[in-house]
Amino acid sequence: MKILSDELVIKNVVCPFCGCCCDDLEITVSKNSIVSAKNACALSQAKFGSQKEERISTPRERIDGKPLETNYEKAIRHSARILAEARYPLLWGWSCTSCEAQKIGVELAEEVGGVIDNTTSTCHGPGLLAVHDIGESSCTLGEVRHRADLIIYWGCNPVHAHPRHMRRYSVQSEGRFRKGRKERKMIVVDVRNTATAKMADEFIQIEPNSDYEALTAIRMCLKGEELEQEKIAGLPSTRFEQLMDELINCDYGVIFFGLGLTMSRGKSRNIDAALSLVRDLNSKTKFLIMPMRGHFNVAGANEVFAWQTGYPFAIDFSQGYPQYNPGDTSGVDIAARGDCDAALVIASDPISNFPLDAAKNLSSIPIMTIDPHETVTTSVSEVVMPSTMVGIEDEGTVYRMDGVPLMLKKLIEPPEGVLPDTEILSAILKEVRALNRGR
Amino acid sequence: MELKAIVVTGRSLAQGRAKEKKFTEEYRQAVAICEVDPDDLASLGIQAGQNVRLANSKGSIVLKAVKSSQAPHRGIVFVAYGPWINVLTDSDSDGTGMPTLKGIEAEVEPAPGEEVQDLRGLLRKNLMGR
Repeated sequence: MKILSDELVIKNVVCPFCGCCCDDLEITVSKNSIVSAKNACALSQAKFGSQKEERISTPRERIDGKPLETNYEKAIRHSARILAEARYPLLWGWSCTSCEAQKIGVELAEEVGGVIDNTTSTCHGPGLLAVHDIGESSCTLGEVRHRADLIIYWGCNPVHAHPRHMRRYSVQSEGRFRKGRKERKMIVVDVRNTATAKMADEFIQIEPNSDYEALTAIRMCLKGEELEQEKIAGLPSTRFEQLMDELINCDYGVIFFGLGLTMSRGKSRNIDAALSLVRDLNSKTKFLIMPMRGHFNVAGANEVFAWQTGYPFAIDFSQGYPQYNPGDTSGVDIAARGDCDAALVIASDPISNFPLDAAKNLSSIPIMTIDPHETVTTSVSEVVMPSTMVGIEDEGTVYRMDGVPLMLKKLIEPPEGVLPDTEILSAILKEVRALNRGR
Repeated sequence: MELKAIVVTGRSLAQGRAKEKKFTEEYRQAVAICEVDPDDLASLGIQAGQNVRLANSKGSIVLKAVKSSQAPHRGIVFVAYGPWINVLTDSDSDGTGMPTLKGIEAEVEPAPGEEVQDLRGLLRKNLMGR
């Protein structure tokens, strides 16, 4: 920490935006405002720069259908009463808050006999299902930086979604054994010639919804099987033989995959194929795979939920013990079926991000939302509780996309009277326990 | 003048920058647009900046068409994640928890004279039926 006249420069700040969790930011603070964010990418700059926009300053609760300003005490009591009385509440979000808040969330889900699910469901959930089936050869990002000579981005566009990934951890990074871009090959597989694809040594453009076929074709080539079709995934089948040669001839390869695999036809089966390919490649050379996690602490949500319950997302406590069955106990499915009768939403905007039929059902039940900003979900919520922004106005633990834990720092004071997620959740939990004991 | 398209949703830099200020014009400009291959714009008989209607069995929505910088991708339309495109997405997760947010079939046609709704209007129409 360095003080320049009335400015304070805080070094080694961890970015609270994407799963890269870049930990080399230098934030300059003056008069309780962030004036600059050195080393921050365009996404991070926007987060630090607009942190005061569209903030919620006061808790709200609906009285006779109208959202009226209230205080935390009443908002917490109102939320606790709805959660305690609900038959099957959904506790959704969790990826943009700290591990400390996530831990309290699991306790609350157990207490109310509800379902707790994080946004993994709608990002890399299918990847985790595939890991259960196949297993995963993975590593840390530091290992990639030091050793990888072949980097594949499959179904992801880090230039837009993880802008510093290539420079800090992969193709453009300077490692101990690989000094930079010239010592690494970059291949992009995508359905569009994205900004990332334009930077690649090779761009392989496949047809939409054909990732499974493409991955399986490479595996078949690796096993010496003949590709009978002339075209696979829109490409001549010989292209997959060439690609297989490139993969087995590297010293240290890694596939970074994105939602192009998890959200398109095949979903978890696409990742099955990718994980199996990497497993098979390890009979020829060193090969690893890693999901490009989106939110800054979605990996943390998986870690915390797993060490608390045994499962990384979509956990149902309605029988009094944790059950896990994504597709049944996952947020979108529950909302789409109209099963939940109340929802606690934290650090997420499901009314905006869910398909319309699921969002419609969710908006018809009482929602209690904890969020620093106005969102589509807060606009339809029964109770709204403003919270501090973790990583800016509050500290907390997060997990980077490769499972490395890091500490977010408190940089400035929050708006007056606004509480952190941990405090709000603890108060709701205490109130629910009191209500349950009084029954 | 109709295009049978595959819609791909995803993160864009502009959507990521505006996602924590949803009721701003900046967010609408980032999310209520669709990126169309230049040849598809020509076959639709429209120019970049004009509005198109995307429709499938789930619903329909008017978005501003922009010329894709990631072409060629004939038949593929890109729309950033958000409440506009979620009018067309399917909540069926095929038993995985994940709705199908990429590779969605839709028909695209010019929508002259039709406006792109603002977020509050979109909510009133789709969530409250007004």
